[in-house]
Amino acid sequence: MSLKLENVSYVYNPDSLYETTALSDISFEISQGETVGIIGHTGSGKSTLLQLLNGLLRPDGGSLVVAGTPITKSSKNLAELRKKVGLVFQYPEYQLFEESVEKDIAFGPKNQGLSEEEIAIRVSEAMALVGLDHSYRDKSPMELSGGEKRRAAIAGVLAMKPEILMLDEPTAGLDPQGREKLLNQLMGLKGKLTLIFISHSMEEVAKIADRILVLSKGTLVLDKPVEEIFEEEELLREVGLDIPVVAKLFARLREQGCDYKRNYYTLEEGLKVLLEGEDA
Amino acid sequence: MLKDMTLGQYYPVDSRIHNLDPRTKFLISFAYILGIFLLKTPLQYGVLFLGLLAVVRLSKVPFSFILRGVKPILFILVFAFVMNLFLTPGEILWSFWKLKITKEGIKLALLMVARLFLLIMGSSLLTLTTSPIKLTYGMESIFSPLKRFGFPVHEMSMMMGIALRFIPTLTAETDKIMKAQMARGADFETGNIFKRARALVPILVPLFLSSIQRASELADAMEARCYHGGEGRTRLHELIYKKNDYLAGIIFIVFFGIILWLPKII
Repeated sequence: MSLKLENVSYVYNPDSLYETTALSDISFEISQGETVGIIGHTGSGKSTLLQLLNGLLRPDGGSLVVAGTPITKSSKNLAELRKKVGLVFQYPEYQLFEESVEKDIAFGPKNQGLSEEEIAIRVSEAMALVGLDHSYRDKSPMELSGGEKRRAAIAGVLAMKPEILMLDEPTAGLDPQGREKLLNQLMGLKGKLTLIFISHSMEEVAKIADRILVLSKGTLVLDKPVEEIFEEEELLREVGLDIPVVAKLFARLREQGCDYKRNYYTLEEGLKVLLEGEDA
Repeated sequence: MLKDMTLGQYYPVDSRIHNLDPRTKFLISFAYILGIFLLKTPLQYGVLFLGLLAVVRLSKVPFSFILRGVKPILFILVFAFVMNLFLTPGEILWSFWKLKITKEGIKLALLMVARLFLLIMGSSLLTLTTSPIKLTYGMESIFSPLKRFGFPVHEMSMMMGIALRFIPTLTAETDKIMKAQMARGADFETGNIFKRARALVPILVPLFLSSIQRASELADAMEARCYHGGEGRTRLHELIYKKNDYLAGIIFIVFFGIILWLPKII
């Protein structure tokens, strides 16, 4: 088991005018190698949840175990945990600071205390994983385009070889092409590590994740495999979310009396079924 | 970890203190800061502290919130206390090796701490109860006579207002960048001073870059709304002194007058 939460809660600015409960009574488990999408409206507690899983925030209640390490209000020295759990923040390109892409990606591995040779290998591997070729090594991060910066920042986390990789809205603010590329690279990571990512877009989640957690106002309202989740159209609508267009289309077709063997929710699958009659 | 900074953070509630004219609050705070340096006896500090507590009560800002603003300067408080305690010459009460504690030292150290404490508490009350925009208008209005001598009053107050406005934004940003680097294994808490200073580079570089970018975006946004400085600019909300402002001024003067007279009466 990769991580386990039991009745976890978190409160921002306790005992003040700004006190807000970000998460209450969250329980779920994620096993090794799973790919999980977390989706929810703005302010539903998604980002807070990821920061808890990395030990950057400590839970105010409940129990939380990540990669074998319990995280409590008083736990110290979580550096070991952070070696195993990589977290890519929203707009991670703002964390780039070194003079070259290579050095920036090496920041994490260096902090882990690895040897020079090992660091060089890690940097090359991470760059290959996000699709940055060798010509980028010596470039300044500031010269890169938005999408390239984002990928360089993700490589910086991948170079630490985490067991669990968490991404907070990895595609936010990217143009359609950069988005597509990044999503494909994430697809490539599936199964190699435990992948947890936040997204606003149902299409994105449907494409990548095996399982979806839906948060609303700090509580977990749905936790289902992707094949089943879009059957809950009404509930999803209630919490301010929509279902992918393709899932909607098939729901309407079904209402009209078409019979399909299972649910379809990605464009590729939908096209296959409709154009080639492949329903299996 | 940066949540503790209250200086320059507005606490938005509706209270009589919040509703005072910013100029009133500014002038009173200024007089208060100067006044603190005139106080000599512990009794005076005690009475002033009680008065300040009454104002805090009126302002509806929780006392614990104001105390949090004092926390960052705790080191300075301790430093001032220790320095005054050991380095004041006078009647020796206790000595060990080269360290001497004198009667005068104890008194001075305590007064110094009380002075700094009241100073920070009073001035954070100003920024806690006055929004940055109001504070800027107030400053501009107070210093506007200087315009005649070619002093760029409007520009200065605009700069101040922007600086104040961006303190919470930059604090949040710093917190975020710190977390992002911590997630990459950065360590800000251990090591000697040089190691710690070097550990700040991964925070400062991104912070400066985004600040510069933010500044340039802000300049564009202001220009797009035809901002061209203070010349001929009119305001939606003009500043007018009301009954409560005069009342506040009178109460302050009477109260401080009494405090200054205290040593002579008793």
